[in-house]
Amino acid sequence: MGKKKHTDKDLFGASALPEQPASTPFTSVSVRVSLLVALLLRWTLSLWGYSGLDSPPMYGDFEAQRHWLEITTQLPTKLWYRYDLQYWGLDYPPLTAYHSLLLGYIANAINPSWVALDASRGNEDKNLKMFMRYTAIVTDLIINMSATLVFCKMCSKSKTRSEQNTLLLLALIQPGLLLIDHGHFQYNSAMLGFTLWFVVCMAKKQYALGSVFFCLALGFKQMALYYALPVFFYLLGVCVGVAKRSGAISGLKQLAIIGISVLLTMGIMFSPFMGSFEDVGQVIHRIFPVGRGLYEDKVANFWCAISIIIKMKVLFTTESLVRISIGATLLAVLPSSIHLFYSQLSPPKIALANPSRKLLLALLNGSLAFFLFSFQVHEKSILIPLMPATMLLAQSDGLAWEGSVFITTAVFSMFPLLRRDGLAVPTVALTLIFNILYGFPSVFESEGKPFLLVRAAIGGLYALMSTLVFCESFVNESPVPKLPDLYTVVNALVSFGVFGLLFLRYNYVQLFMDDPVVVGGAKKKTK
Amino acid sequence: MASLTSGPLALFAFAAVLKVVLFPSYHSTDFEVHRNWLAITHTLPLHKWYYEATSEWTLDYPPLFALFERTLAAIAELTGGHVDMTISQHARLDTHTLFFQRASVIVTEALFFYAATRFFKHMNTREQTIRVALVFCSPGLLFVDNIHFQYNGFLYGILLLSIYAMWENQFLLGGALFAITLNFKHIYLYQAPAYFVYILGAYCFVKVGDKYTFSLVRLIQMGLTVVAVFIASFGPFFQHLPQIMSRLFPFKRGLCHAYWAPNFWALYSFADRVAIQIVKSAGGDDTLGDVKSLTRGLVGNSVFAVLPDVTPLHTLVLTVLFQLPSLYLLWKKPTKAAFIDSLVLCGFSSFLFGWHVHEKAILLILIPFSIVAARTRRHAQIFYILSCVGTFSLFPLIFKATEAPTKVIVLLMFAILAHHYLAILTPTNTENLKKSSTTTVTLGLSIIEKMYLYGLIPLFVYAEMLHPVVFSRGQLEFLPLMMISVYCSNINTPNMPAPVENIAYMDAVEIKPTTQQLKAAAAATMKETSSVESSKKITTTTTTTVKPQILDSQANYFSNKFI
Repeated sequence: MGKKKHTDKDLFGASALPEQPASTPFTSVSVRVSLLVALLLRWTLSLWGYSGLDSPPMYGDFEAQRHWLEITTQLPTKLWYRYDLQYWGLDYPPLTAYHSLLLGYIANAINPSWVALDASRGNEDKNLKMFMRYTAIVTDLIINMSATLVFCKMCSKSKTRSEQNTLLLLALIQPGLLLIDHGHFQYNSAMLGFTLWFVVCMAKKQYALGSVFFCLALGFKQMALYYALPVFFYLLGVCVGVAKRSGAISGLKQLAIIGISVLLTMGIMFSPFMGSFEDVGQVIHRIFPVGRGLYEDKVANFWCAISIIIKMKVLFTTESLVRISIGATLLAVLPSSIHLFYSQLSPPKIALANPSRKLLLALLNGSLAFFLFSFQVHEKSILIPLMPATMLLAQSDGLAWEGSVFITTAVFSMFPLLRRDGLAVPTVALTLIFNILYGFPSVFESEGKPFLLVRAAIGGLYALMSTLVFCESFVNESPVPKLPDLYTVVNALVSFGVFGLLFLRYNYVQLFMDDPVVVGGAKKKTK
Repeated sequence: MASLTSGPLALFAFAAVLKVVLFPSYHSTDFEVHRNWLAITHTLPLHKWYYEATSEWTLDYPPLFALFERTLAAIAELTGGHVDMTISQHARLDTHTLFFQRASVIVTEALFFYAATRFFKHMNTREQTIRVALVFCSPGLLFVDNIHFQYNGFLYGILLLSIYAMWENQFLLGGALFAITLNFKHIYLYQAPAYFVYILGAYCFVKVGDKYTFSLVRLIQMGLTVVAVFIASFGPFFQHLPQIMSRLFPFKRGLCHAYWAPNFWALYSFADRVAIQIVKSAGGDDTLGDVKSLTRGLVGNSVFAVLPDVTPLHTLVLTVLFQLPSLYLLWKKPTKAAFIDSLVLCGFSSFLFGWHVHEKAILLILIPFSIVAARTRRHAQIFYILSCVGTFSLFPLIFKATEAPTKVIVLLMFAILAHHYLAILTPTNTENLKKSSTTTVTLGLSIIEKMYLYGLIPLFVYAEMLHPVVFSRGQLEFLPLMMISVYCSNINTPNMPAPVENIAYMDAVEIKPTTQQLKAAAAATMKETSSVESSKKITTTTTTTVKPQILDSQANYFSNKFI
């Protein structure tokens, strides 16, 4: 052995690194590399196909986003929500429109044919694709990746370095968001990023600023409403908590500050449409189209799952269906939200290493309830509960396997959609990257948790999902001729099963397993 | 909790999946070349392989590579016949074929990965992972293999296995493996001298008592082994040897490749261009620059306008001349360390002075070097500069705007990670002392070296962003390439003697004359090049030759003081 050592020194140099890296704070090397890996994955994903490529006359989400650049740049504000609504009429709130306007200006400066009114429809110029990809990445970088970085730094005190590095990278490359934003093509990262900024502000007790951020999220995509109830109860809890401790006047003052910042932000965003009552009505009508039906396509939610047994659409009118779904959603949201409200009444005196845990759990439970039970759900909406689930992973290890299974299943549930966009290969690849880095070890290699039975079940689930993905990709015809979309239905059912169980699990964790980690790493049971 | 540093296998899986996401990136005509070879070996009988000339992408690699393509074709057949294997004059592209070929690169790279792990298998997981990453995650190889498209990965795998066998004193196995590498791709001939000398010195001379005696038996054993490999490879093509040779060694190609490789001839050609302008402005012959000169970027015989022309013989003499010092050292003391240094330097001289060198050949230096990159701090510094600049010099290979972010991000990632880990792997004594108080590590590059590396940034900005805007009608389209090559060759040329210095450190008595020889040679080359270039070179040369001694003396001082 001594001889071996001698040759080693001559050949490789004798460094003899310790097995574990020295424990140091968040290093700039790891942050820089994580950001670069995140950008690299986003860019390489951008080289693949997108929604609606080569499929005239309507194309897909890519064309919708491009079309909004066109109408916001070329038309007066009054016409934004009215112009030729049959062809991808604008149906997102005003902030998306302003975002499109800004990008439209830049596009117009580079190449006017990209945003020429009507003439640019279906433009599939390679450079246009590149331009749009860049805009998605820059938007993501400025709003979402920055928020992720700040959030991870904020709650990195109680972890070892190798953990921090993995968790930051993991939060930056969550495959679901990457695949939809930089593959399929949308700007969800903006809405999710604003929400995360809200979470960061709450942890730092910047309530007014936080409310502004949440309004921006709402103003970018109405889907942020999935978060609205927990957010409302949280802020209410904050105000009531202040009132309880420092008197009703202080509580009212806090409420007024939050209320004014919300009203101001909303007012500024909607100001161009304030001219007439009708204009605001038109915007609202475009944003909330109730007429479309209970669910689109095959979605992994409650209504789609029970439709196999009970045809709700036949039994009830659309109006009563809306009422039923609102009732069911509220029933599912309220427990977690009310728990959040009470937890804010008496916040802990000590500083927590994971101050956002309760808020994130409630956001997750609230939005997952919306996904499972509300009206008009799209399969991409799973991204909304996915964000707090990812951040919970990045914050503490307590929910490691739940988060891994959730992220993996969420990507799986969007597989039929992504496969149509020509993204089957990167979907599998990114899911694997996530699981190599974090998912598999957290489920199968961590000590104690989860129980052996759960591990076996997850193993079985992964095997089932792999088989389905394989069949969907390579066995082109459904084995049962009567059911042409068998794979999609099975996919929705499996995903619904997992989401439903995770919903119960996360609710259980929030309501009964509250163990805040105190700075310094010691765990303390409060209940 | 597993993370990036949890083991080499996680690293491989991560890299492989990342490369899968790179599938739709730009690919060069080399992709078409390999597809065509797949078609040729699939559809034609063996004896027609080297005669097929429907397209310009004829088979011009040695027989083992042809057999490799034949195997791939058989596998492609098994996967359901979606792979397009028709011989065609024109490029054919469909997604199945692209994915199949791209995937085959990633799968065969497993051999390279395996070879890299062999060297470090006795180290702890963390160090093993870092060192394997330095070898396996070469950004240059990623550009050439996974984007540009070639199969270098598994070839370097065989080469590394061969080096490893030599280190383990399994000389016959090592020799056979090297012969196999040669029969896959003959570019490795550049490194044959080092093998030859090492086998002769370390294997054929046997120590009997105090004396070394020559063992003819061993030489014959080795000879037979190598010849057997060649017979197995070329045997089936016995009747077509002249045809194969004309394909393997096309001396009709010019001195420099269509893109200038960043070597000595880039400086030489640059000097020629400068000289043309000087002669013109001095009222000389106005038609001077009209010759089909190198700056036009054409493949073909190059003609210099002012400076003397260069023939293959000149390049051969120069190459051998610059290989001699390291080979001499290897001969005097055939150690394992000297062997790999000599391999690197042989690759280096051929890269700098060879005929029709392609910029991809930089890998021939970087990959063997990466094994021993962390031997000393000075090794690490040179390896770092060389890899960054060498990788940058590959940028023109992948010229599409869609790949620009990929190139930049990959190189930046490498630059940050390699800087960090090379510094950790090569702690100097001063750093050991300070370790408790400071957490940041640096590689300790000199100001000039740093400025040189940072200089790549404005060069990139000009070549890839400003140039197309400034000359929007395509004038001077080869100017950026020339700039990149000249800039990059600047570091390659003077840095060459440096690894020898490190042998010198370990073997202080023998090196002195050689170092001086090299310095003299370097000075001689400087005279030939233009004055602008040489001023830069002198500074860099001085740093490379003086610095190691300073560092080492510092190290000695500290170790003496504290032991």
